[in-house]
Amino acid sequence: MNTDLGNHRYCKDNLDLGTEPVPVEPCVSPEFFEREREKIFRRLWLNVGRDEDLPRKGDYIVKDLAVGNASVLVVRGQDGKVRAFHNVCMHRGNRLAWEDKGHCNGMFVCRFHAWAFDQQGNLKHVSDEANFHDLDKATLGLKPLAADVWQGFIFVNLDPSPSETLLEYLGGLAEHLNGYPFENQPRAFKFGVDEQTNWKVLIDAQNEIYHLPYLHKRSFPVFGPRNDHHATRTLAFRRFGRHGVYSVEQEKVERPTALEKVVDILAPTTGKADQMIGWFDFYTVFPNFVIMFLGKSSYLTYNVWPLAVDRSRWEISLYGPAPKNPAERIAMEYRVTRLRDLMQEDGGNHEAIQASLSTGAITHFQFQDEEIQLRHFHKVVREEVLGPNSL
Amino acid sequence: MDTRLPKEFADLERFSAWILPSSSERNRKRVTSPMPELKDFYQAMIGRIDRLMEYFQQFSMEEMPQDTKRLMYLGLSLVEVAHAVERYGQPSIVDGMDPSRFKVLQEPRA
Repeated sequence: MNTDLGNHRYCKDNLDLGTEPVPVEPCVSPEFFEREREKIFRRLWLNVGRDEDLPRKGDYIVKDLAVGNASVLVVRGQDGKVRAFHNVCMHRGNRLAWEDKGHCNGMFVCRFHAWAFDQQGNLKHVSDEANFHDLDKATLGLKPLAADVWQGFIFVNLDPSPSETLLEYLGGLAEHLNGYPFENQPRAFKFGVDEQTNWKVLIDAQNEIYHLPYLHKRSFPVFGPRNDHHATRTLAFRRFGRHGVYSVEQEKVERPTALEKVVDILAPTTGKADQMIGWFDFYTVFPNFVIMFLGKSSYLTYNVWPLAVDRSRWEISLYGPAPKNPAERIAMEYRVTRLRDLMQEDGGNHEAIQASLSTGAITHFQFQDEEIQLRHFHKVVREEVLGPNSL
Repeated sequence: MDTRLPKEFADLERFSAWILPSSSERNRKRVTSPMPELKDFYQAMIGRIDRLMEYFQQFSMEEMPQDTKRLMYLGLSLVEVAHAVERYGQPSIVDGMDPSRFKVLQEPRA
């Protein structure tokens, strides 16, 4: 597959996405944010971690999902199954688990009055039980949440009865990525940054390569094919229902820096796994999860957690084969810190964009054909919040 | 603190301030050091990079002597400094966010 360097390549096959400017309001309106909370984050599947966060039976993580107004306890039970519960004691509502992650040897015991729940959520012990009135322990298990695992990625759903299973939700995206060797590439690094920006502004800033030759001219002077006007062109854009992917072909670095040359021999960035479309594939897993593949044996994920209409937490994880020797460790550090620098270049803009949007100076975004991913993403957001016939 | 390096690389001991086990320490030192200092360290390290990498490939991550581990930390610091020297021409990235806001939540065990 070769990159077509022409213009208007995607709009023709995506007529429903239109070509008109896209409203800013969903990025600045507190009312719209409240509706996103209900219609998106309390209804759809959300990634909260990976299998490797719960390597042993009894391991747990706690995710405080402010946007879903929920604290979620995710635990790998003694049967190996991953379950999720509201992290709330059924007695009087105290927080049950207090650490971000930990290991439960037997029961989760509430520190308030020592009610004890097993790892399947059952209420097993009530202190001073005889003094209660008609207490039916069988009905007072922890409140469960739908949880499922796809290719090692753990998802939960805050809807008491989700309208789709996780696999139905992921649809063609899951089929497309099945078999990718995620398990051979453990998480090596994780970064987190809190920003004064809307979650969609943050994702938008990553969801195209139009900006590469400008904002990232120093960090990644070569990234993807360009036309005669020095404008980037992606290799492909595909939709999987609410989700999408864009892909970029690798461009040869003609003049690598002194260290880049050395690192590239140790840890070649060329080649791609069978499931990859190009050399860089960027999947937006609606609403707030990103999986991106970079060359043959490394990938990254983003979890972008809305905290308020104008505040978000950006969690970045980088995965790859564990280095066998110090030279490979240095090569890994090179790849990771270079991407980190690039993300800090992006981060320099997120808050400025949000501040500008909040002034009302512009009411619409202008998206070109290379930004069709953003057009798709914003359309899905508006459809989920306002209904499919509202646009 | 013991700052000895393997004999072959003993001349690099003058850069012992760059023997830093965590990536946030290395990044902080990079962005707070003056450019001439970064260039001095970069030149000394990059001039011997092929030999350094060859040397490193003899050891596994699990079993490496302490002096080699210190040398690896210098190598990891070189990575930070190389971004400044090779890409930005200044210690920090250009027009970016304050790097100290980027929290390292997980990194390979030192």
